[in-house]
Amino acid sequence: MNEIKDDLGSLLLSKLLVQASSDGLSSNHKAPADTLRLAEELDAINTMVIAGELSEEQAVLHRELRLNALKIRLLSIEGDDDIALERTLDGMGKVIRRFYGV
Amino acid sequence: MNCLSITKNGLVLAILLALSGCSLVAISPYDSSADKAITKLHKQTAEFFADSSKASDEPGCGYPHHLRFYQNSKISMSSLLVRARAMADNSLTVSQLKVLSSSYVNLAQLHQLGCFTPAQVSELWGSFDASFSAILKLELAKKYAR
Repeated sequence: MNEIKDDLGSLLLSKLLVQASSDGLSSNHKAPADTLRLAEELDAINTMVIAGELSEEQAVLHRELRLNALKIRLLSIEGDDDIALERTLDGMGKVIRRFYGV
Repeated sequence: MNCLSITKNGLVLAILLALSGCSLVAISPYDSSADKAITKLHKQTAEFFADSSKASDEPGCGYPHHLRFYQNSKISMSSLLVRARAMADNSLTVSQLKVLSSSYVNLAQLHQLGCFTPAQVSELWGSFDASFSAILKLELAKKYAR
């Protein structure tokens, strides 16, 4: 019985480690899409400068606003990852506690 | 019980203690007041841009005519930041609000350079809307993703 418990315990641990290290808990794949969108937005600002719709001084502030929006978005992605990890760890904790009767 | 078994048990016990004794990942709980305040500020900002897009070539389009909006948004941001800082494990939301606060400063500087054209309004609204969406997304994830 103890051996079965040991094996199941090890299995739970290995699953936890796989989950924690996999992309399942991470939203990092979203960052490149956001970066690409930023590049397009900065390009649109440059087009407005070339067309004479914006001065260089105005363009600097527009670019800064776009960068701020990206920073906020990346912080949101980081928060999503933290919440997903927290949820997984809580779930694993419950399983392990129930398994060992703690 | 052999050595391998003892090691396995010890490892499981260590993880168990870590999971039950302290939180490895800490993020603040959902704050409904912050959610409402952010939504309200988003609405005020949307109204400002709707107003700015209509009046790009009229006398009332300049910065002095919108001082009240800039003052109100500054006050709202200050209140949001104080509340967010008061909550434990809320560093990500605090950082988001600090960046949004600097966006309002940039917006005011831009407005002082001249009235906004419709193309500028569209560009600016895109930045602010994306920022608000991301802040609200994180706040709501604290409630629904758990």
